[in-house]
Amino acid sequence: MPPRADLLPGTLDLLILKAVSLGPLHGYAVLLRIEQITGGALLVEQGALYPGLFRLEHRGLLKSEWGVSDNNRRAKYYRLTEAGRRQLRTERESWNRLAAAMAAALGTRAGEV
Amino acid sequence: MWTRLRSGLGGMVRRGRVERDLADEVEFHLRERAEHWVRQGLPQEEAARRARIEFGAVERHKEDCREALGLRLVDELGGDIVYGLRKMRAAPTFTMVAVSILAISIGANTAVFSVLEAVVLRMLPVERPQQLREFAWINRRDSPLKVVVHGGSTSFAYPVYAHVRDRSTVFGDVFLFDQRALDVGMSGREQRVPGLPVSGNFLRGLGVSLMIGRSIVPEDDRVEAPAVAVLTHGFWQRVFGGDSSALGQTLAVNGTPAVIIGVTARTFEGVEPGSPIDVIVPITTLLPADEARAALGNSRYWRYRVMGRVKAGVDDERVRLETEALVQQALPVDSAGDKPSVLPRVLVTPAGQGVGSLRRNYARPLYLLMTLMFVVLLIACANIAGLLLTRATAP
Repeated sequence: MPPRADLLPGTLDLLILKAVSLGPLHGYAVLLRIEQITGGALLVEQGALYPGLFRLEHRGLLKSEWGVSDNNRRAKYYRLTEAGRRQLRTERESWNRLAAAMAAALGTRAGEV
Repeated sequence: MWTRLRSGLGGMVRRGRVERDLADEVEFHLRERAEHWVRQGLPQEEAARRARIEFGAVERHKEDCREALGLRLVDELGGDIVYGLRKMRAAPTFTMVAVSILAISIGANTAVFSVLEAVVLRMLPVERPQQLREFAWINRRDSPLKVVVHGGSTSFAYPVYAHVRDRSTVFGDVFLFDQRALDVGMSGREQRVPGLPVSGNFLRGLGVSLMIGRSIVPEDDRVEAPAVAVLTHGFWQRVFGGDSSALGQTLAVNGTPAVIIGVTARTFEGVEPGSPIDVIVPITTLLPADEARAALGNSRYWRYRVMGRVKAGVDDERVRLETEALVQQALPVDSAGDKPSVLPRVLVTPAGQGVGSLRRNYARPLYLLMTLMFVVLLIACANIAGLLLTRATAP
């Protein structure tokens, strides 16, 4: 099992946005997708997903709709809104900038300052 | 922000459904996860247990979901209200004092505001009152304009009114009225009631709705037309008991028998706040035929009040200027055939709230009173806050 990292606050929302960006999913599928795209490296307490989904929908970044799952059960599907798409793009860019800056800072050696 | 507000309000309103959906969604998740473990080879019960453990504390997550929807606020508010009521019951005297102080000041504010609203703020219950204007004129003291003026500078002569009505390009309609007491009689009994003689286009022009029957139309306002009358709702209730058989009955108006053709809507009491009227008649009804022609054709007899409905999008000053020009054109000439050298200035004032001096005279005092009452309320609130603080910090 690859080493697990703790989820920083706020990253869950970003992961949800990314997971849903590839197509409408119900809550459980979002969980599986997150596990899949992070290669299992990020730990998500399953129940914590739902407040995240509700929060994003409350902010207008996701839109939900009740539908029928593959095995014919009633399930709530989430999809990305236009605002959600824009938010994903913005957050992804700032995340990349932050990660690059941190990596550079942590990688400097004694004589390089 | 609006999405959040909508989402929050929506959640509050459909609370039952939100709870059911939340429960369904969580149950779906747990069932799917349990099936995943069953596929991995675990027995049913073990799989379900594993799924629940992985999910975490169900109720806590549900609570977080509710909070995310902004529902927490409502629950906390409920709790706070119950606590407040309990505290109030525990200190009855104080509660009574505080409630009385607030009740009195709120009552005073409400009373003053009702008067303010009725006299100053309320619009006439007619169509689009913001378009209504009343005509007025001012004259210099030394003006040689010799006319007989009744009641002040909102009075106009009939031919002047007719001239403006026919020629105006800024007014969609111009109508005329007079407020005077009428002797109305039925089966021999007579009483003096406040009446409103009007031009034929008055009720239609204002857009007064009728409860029953039909309105006065320009055809009724001819000397040769049969006399008709429209009653106001209050008069109809008092004299006819609200019976619709009043239509078609004959009412003597200043001696002239007039057929009752309609009753106005309940909210219409005339155009002058504070002076409700009972009977509306076409202006020609009141005058015997030859007198009608004389009065209505006399440009020296200034008695009647004029209102108009201004067309949309026209500048106020342009309305005034054109109306002034038309009025001046219609002024009577003196013995030499000339118009007076100093012409009156015509004003066109908004009349959406009705006409008359009541508002003019009482608007400012009422506003002052309202402000004072409001200050009293603020003081009362400050007093109660102080009392509460004292109680809270008392040893």
